[in-house]
Amino acid sequence: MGFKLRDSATEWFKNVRKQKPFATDFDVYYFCLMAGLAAGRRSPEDVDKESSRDFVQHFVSPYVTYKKLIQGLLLYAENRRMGIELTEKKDVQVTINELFDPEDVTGLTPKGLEALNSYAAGGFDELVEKMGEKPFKAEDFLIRYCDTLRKVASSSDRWWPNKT
Amino acid sequence: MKIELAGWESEGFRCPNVKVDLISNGVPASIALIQMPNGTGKTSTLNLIKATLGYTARTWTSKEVLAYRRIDSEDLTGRFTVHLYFDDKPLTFELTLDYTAGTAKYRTSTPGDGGMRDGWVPPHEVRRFFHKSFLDLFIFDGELANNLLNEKETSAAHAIDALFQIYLFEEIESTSDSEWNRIKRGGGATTSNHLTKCRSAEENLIKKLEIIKKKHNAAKSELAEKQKRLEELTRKIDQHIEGIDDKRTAYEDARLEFERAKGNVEKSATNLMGSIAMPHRLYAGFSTALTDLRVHLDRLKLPENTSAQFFKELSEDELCVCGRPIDESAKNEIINRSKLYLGEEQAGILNAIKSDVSDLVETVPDELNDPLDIAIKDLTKALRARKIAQTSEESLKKELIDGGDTELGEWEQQKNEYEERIKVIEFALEEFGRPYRSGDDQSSNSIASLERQIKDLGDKIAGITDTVEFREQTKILAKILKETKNEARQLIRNSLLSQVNTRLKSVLGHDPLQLQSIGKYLVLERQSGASVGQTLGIGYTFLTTLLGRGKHKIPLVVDSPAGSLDDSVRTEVGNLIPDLTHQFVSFVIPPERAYFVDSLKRSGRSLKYITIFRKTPGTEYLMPDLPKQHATLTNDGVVVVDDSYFMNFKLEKEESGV
Repeated sequence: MGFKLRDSATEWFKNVRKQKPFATDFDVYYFCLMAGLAAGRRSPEDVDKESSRDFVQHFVSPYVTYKKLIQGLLLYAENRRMGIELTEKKDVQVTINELFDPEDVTGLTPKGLEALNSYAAGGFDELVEKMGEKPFKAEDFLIRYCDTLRKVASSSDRWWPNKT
Repeated sequence: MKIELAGWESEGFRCPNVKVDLISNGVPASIALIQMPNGTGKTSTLNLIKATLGYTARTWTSKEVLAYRRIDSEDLTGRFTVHLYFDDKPLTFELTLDYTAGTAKYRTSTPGDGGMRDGWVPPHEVRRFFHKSFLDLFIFDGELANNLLNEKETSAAHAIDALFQIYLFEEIESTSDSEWNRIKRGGGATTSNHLTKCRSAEENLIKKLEIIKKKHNAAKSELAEKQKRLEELTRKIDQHIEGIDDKRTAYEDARLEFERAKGNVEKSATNLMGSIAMPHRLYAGFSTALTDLRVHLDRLKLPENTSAQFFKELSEDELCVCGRPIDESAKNEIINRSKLYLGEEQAGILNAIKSDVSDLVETVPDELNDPLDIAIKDLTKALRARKIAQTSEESLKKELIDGGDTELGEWEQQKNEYEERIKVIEFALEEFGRPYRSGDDQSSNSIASLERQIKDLGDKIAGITDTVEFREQTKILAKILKETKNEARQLIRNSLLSQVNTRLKSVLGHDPLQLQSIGKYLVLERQSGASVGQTLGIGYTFLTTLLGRGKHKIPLVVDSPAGSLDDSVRTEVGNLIPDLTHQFVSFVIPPERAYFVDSLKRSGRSLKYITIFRKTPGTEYLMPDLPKQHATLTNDGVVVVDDSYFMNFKLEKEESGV
């Protein structure tokens, strides 16, 4: 299993995907993933019967540089999702064991990768709901995306503590 | 193939419990005469021989099974065993009737089996000779002879079909039909209509694909052409405006500014993308959460200095770190608890996460202005600048157009048209070039989608075609089988007719009779019926001629071969039989002995004389005269193997038939 992108996400991003600064499908995946993590939204299993494709098996530049931060966000999000406080050592350890596999090129277990893909799928649903029709211009999209993501993350403040 | 009857045994039936041995001088007797007075169970015996060899008792009802038990008997089962030789190798069939359960069971023994095997399992090469229709030929009774001449019966045709396995044609056709029905049940619509519809749909898709491909090529050409023209036109417009002295500088500046602004937009967008790619910059809350995570992991002392591996290794030691011995119970506890610790590898990841958070998130000084915000602002500004530069350029042109530069006006309009047209073409090319999606139908303009639909339809057609073609083939096969069957029958009948008529001249020489034709029944020449004697004579002649065809030697087992024949015909039949078959087994009653047996004796073939009767109060008087050395007694029957006894045997009063 690798990183999965829904066919509908590929279709929705198709205009901007062809334009700079978009260069790879991982760009699209990342945008969806961050939206999913910000909203704390995983795609429900039955929706994921929609067709999707494995497009790559590893983190792609420039995201490989921030791979550990993405793993950290995943760990944080999953603990919060399961109601595990970061003070509960044993439970946190269990989550770590479930998500991470240093033998894998992604650093994730199959369950970990599945969780990440699920956030990406959920993030795409969030973007479509908040941004409406598919974007046409990459530069306009980038600005709108940042604005949308901040609004989405702010509206689920229980997940992300405000910066003090 | 040679089949010989070596004897049989019966126990627990209406007929007496006897063992009949047809072996003479170590081989099955060429002629065996079994004298059984009426009431001895002759019919039952013959029926049981047929049922045992023909595997027909398996379909008997309980009533039919029970009918074979003697009325006042307490036997729970009846067993009938038939011994044969095929090509000089022994073959035994055993039929057991269970009177309580009302069922029939079979066992078989063949060379190399090492004993009796459950089931009716003769060697494959002999099975067809035990087919019911074939058994009816060589286990022959007078009724069959009558039926051969009866226009309401089809016994003659059946006899030919059985010997020459004409029924195989029907079995082939039946197998083919069964297969067709199986396929029809398993598949969907298999009619030619459906096939036609699918082929029509496929044809339409192929035509559409051809059109779309042409459109695709045309669109690509047009796009290239339009882009080229747009470029040329843009250059022309630029040159035109630059050619106007008082507008040149302003226009060049505006164009330069526009290009610069476009570059800025690209650069700002790339910058913004770079910031977005950093999760901790994308949203402040991410940064806080990562720091929070790192702090808590440190507080929890995760990863610990001690890893799960340490505890696993410790569990293998004899002594704990505290010095206490580690027994089995302690070992298991250590292993269980080691799962609460992280493995060394996970510890590595955790340390790397904490390290990156520390290096990338926490060590970056808090800036007054969020880098992302700055990047967004820069891009927004660049977009605005681009818009302004574009507007400036457009304004200059508009001014010239409004000032009467119609040529420029036309070029601008044309440029707009090109740009619009290019958008439309690009949109169409996108559709032509997109991949297949599930749910696509014939309205799709995607080349990949149409190709996929054509392939799927092609596969479907192949499936239907196979089915329709199969049906056509089964029909052709049925026609061929029918024609072959009819032709084969006719050839066989014509050949048989000639042979039978030749023999009839000898058999019924005193009372000449010839066959006109052999069809479903035997048609006599110049007469519609025959006497009993003639009928029997014709029957024997026909069947033995039939059985004598080919390489196989089949015994002839006959019930009452001469009962209704007059003396001369008996003699003729008796003379004929030894030449017609290699083994003749006949059930006779005492009145049939005259003339018939005498002529059989004269054949010079080995003869075995067997007399069987029931042990009853009515036959008590026969017991003292039994030839002791040649008689075998059972609880209810007597078997005497002796020619003199045979020829002189006479019952004072025959019992009622069974």
